[in-house]
Amino acid sequence: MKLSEMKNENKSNKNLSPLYVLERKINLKTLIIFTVVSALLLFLVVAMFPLMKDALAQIKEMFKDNPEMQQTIVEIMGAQNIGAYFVMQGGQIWGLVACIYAAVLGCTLICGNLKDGSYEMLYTQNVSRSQIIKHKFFRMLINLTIFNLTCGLVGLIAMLIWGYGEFNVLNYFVYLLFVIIMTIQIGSLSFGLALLGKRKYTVFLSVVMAVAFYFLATLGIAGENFEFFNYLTPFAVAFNDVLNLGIGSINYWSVGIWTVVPTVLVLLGLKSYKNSDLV
Amino acid sequence: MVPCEVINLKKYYNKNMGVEDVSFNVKEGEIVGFIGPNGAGKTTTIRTIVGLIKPTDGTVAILNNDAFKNGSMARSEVGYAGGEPSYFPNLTVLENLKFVADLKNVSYDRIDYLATKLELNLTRKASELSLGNKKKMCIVMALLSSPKLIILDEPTVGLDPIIKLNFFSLMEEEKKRGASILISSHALTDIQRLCDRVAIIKNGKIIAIEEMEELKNKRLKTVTVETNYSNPQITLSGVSNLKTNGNFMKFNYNGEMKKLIKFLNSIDVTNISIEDAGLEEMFLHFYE
Repeated sequence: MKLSEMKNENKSNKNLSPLYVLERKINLKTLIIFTVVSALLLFLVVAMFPLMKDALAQIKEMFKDNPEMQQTIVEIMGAQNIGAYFVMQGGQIWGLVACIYAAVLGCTLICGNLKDGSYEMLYTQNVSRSQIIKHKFFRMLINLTIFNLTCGLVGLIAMLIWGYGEFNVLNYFVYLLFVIIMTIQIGSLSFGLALLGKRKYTVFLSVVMAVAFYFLATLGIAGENFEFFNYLTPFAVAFNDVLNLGIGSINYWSVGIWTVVPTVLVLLGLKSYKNSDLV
Repeated sequence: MVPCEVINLKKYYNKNMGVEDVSFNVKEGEIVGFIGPNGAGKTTTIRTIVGLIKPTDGTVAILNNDAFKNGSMARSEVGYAGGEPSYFPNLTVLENLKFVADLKNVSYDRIDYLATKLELNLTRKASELSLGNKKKMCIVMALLSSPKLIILDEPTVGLDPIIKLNFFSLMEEEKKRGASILISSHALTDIQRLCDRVAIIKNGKIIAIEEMEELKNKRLKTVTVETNYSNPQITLSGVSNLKTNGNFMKFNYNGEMKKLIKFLNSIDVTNISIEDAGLEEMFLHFYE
């Protein structure tokens, strides 16, 4: 078909939809890779729950004279029920991959153009820098939501197969919601840092940040004395036992702090990015 | 309304000077060449005009809009192709061009026309193209929306002679349409062929803005002299671009003819030739 016969579909769309389409095309491959890997791992982890229960029965038998030790092992493995297991095992994998994906996406959306040289073409078109940034930010929100909804759906299917009736489905959706919020917080943080740092902020740094958040969260669940760490990382929400304890288990102070910090960073970053040289 | 007006532009990177004092304009339907040695400030000036760089001081106005503060409005009638080809490497040529066409509400017919004219393969992945083809893609992007102001930084680098001719014809078409064009290039013959005026920048300052016709009429002479002794010394003002080789010397001269003759009388000349200098030699005279 000749180009002249093709329809220019975006004419009526105030010229902005090409930006959405562009970011979708550029970031599609990464979205697919991260989503497939994460969803697959999540499915496999949940599928291992029956094996875990068998292994746990044997361990209980080994420590039948030591009920305290039994309890500790059960808690570490998250094997009280499928809900606790999902949060402790699946939540770690899903949360960690989501956290890394969010950080990498936030970084590459801004720094990718600066690194591959396409910024010169993109930022010399008839759109303002803030419009471009706004579109990139919305693309981040969309991709993170797609990623989490897919993982969440796969996780739910796995949970229904191997633990039907053993968990509260409504709580599962609350958990999903807070994982989405967490990834958006981390993605926004990375996005804001990319706007401020430009070329100085790299994918490597974004991954380091994501992994650091994960470790802070693991410290946060190490014991009552370490609860302070839960306030230093948005990742803590991934370890909340929402599936068993419901929405009351969410630490809203931590969620609040990690909503305000990235928001401020993105706003500061936007202001700086708009008023500085891109070269 | 002047499509592009640069007034007292200054750009400093911390304490390092990018451009010091740049003022020039591009009038409607005019092609202006922007030339100068490497590091003179050409690309900094151009990037300031297209809003990638924030000026330290001075004004850059495109169609009465401030190029930085009101960038998107200013760039709505600008087509730009930078010195380094800029594109989305993971997309095909066509996807890159369609992105610009969609953003500027341009019919895809125009892609067809320009790509045919510059013999550009639309189906290949942009990152796999040769430098010349990347340049062609960027030129097409710049011309796609038939903008009022076209800014091209080193557009002919990597183009083969046939495509170069097609590029010249496109520029002439754009000029006839009424577009204003600013071209930065080291290819002085291209500048000579295309431009109505030329702005020359050196060490961050505009040192001359000349009408091409006036430049052609300037009485710069190329003098070639053969003497009886090697490495003759020149004690004459108005000499530039001096080259000596044994008994021969060649230089450009823009001083009084009487003084030249007097000087030639003072050395033992065995052969002499005095010609009007070509434009390229005139440009080199400014570079020195």
